[in-house]
Amino acid sequence: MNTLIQAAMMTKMHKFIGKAVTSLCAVFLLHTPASLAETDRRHHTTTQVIYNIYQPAYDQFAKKSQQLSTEIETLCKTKDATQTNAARSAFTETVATFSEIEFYRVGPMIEKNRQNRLFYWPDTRRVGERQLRSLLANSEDFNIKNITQKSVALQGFPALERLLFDNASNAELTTPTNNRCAIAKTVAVNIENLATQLQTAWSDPLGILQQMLAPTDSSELFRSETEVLRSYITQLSAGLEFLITRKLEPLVAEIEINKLKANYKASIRKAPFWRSDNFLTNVKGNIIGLQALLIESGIAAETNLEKELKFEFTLALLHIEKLNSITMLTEDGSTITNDAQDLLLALIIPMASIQLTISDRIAKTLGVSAGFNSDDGD
Amino acid sequence: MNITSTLDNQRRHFVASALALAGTTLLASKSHSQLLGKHAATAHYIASARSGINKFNAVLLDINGDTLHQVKLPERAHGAATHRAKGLAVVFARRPGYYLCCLNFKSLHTPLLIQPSPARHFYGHGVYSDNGSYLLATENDIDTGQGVIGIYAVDQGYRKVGELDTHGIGPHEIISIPDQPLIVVANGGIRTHPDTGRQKLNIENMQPSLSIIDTRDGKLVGYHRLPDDYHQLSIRHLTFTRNGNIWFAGQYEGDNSLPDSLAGSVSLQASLASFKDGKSRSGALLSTMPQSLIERTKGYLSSVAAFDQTVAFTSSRGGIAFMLDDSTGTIIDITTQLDCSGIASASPTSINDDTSKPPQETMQSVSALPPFIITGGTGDLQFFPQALTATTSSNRYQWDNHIYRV
Repeated sequence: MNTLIQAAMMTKMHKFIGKAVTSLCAVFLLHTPASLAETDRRHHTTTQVIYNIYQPAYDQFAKKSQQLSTEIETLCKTKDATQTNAARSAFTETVATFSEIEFYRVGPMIEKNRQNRLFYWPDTRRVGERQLRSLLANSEDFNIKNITQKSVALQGFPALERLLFDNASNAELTTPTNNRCAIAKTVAVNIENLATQLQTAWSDPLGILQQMLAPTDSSELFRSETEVLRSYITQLSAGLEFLITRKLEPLVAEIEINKLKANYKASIRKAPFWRSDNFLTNVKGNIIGLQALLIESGIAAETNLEKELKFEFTLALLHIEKLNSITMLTEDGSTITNDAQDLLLALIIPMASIQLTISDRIAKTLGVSAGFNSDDGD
Repeated sequence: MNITSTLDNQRRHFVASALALAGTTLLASKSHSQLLGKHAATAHYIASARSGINKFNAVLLDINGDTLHQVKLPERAHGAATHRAKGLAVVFARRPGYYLCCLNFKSLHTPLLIQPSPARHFYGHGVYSDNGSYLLATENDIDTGQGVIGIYAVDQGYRKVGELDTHGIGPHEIISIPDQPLIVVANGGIRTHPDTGRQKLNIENMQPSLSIIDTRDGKLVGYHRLPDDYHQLSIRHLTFTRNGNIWFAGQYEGDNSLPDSLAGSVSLQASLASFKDGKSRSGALLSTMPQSLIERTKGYLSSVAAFDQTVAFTSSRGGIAFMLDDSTGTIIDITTQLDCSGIASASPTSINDDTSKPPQETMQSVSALPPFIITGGTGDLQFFPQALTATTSSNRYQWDNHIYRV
């Protein structure tokens, strides 16, 4: 088409004064720094977040993951059925602590792909299932030294959950000649290692702590207190989005988006940790983690929304308790009962309300937003 | 002159100064290819992003969506155009835009910044001609409000060498039809003026349209307007499928209840064949969309992309993306992502790319990838349907409206 574009341009040529400027496209724009009081307030928030929320949560996760690997090691030595229960209990406790930090997707958690290595979910292509089957058939090439070179689907909780809780687990974990327990031990040690790395990173005063407490223009992570604050809003918004749309909504057939899909079945198998009956453990931990970041950080109080938000979190946790108390979460082991779906829907409501409060009121009041396309697209 | 126009003029002067400053920096700087070497060969996508207050970048990403290289931009950007065989990419300033940032993602030679000609501003999108000799950019004729397509000669340092009429107001995305001397322009129908920034001046009587233009003579060869009931559905973004369908994604500008559809398709063949007296008589179809989906999107589709038999849309306001079948319009899959907006085919080949083939290792490594990549303003990036790599997140970048396959 080029020849004829030239013809077109001859007839439509306009006077062109501007000239091409050879450039690096590097421009240094002035920006107004935040006021001193605001900087102090941001610094105080970050102090709260690091020392009162992140560090204790990562400490707990490291502690519980260590206990988990110890219990599994004992199981592998004793091959005793009662020890299987101890290992499973330790798994549940570790899931609870991990769930609280699951949405703290900042710094060490997203470096070295740790988030996916710990919790590769949803695994829509069933990579973990296929590779685990193959590994159980032949595990010679699987140990703590080379696990990091394997698929992320084999490295964390979903793989360990299958090993400890699937239908063959009772028999195979206690069979002396079976390799299942050794594989489980390797995965558990890997989780422990990752948890220890996270704990260490969050204790290092010259690492992520320095970057968050004293952001500088040359920092790769945070160049201002506002960017640190924005990160909290993003963690909260993205966490709530993931919790609502990936974990809760798929379990309720009446959700509009599910009605669009033919023959939609609200199956518990769409939920994380369903196999170990830890779905509610996971969701509860998520809510507690989000609550801490929003309330205990002081962010909610700064925007005068603490009371309102506390009430909604309380309501959400109450729904979790109700879900925990009902006799049957599923009928036929898969389809979620209508009662449970009603409660899940009731749980979604305060979570969605919190999400809206963050995006419409908190983020705007604080002058930050989780994203900017929805506010200002084109 | 009112305050708004004064501020805007100051802003324009600032951009001009910034461009001059950037030029000075360039002369002393090292060649990027020296700094980056091997990365250049592995660039798979380009997207614009925000990386702090008033900090904007064009970012090259690899096949997994990991960042390879960034170029600082003077102001917020919007779309990009790419030409893989020549290694060319241009990032367009956001409406009302006052720069093009022209890159070579193979050599990573020093980028060029190009300003619009007088009485013009960019609308944020453009496309290369098939052989990469020309760049075509949607622009506003500020005095008349009419849409124009600026023609830039790439080999002459992106010198503007002509213009074509878009046959509408407020042109936004423009695409080319592979192997044919045709371009398609989404005339959003919304009039804006730099004196009033991004304010929309004619929402009550806006009239979006879709123009198919023969680039050999600038003549209109296909033209569609939406039915009267849809006159406030601004046609914004476009894609073209292997079946010969042009798909558009719309944004509802009205105050009333949402329309029954936000997207549609035009059969290129039918449109051209039925074109008479300035209008195509057939070929256009509004997509049948469930009302619940329309409500979820809040009447706003952000981007559209095609891969083989599928067409995928994002809605940043709904935090949702969905994929439908090109032939039947049936919805195939839906995913959610907070503030998702950019979407591109993750394919190793693109429909505009028949003349160049990617390196063999790239072909192999992407064989397992799903068709689309989605980016969001939170920094999240995911493949759709979800791939082996789950969602990744960037602390450094908030991805802007669009991402493109290079």
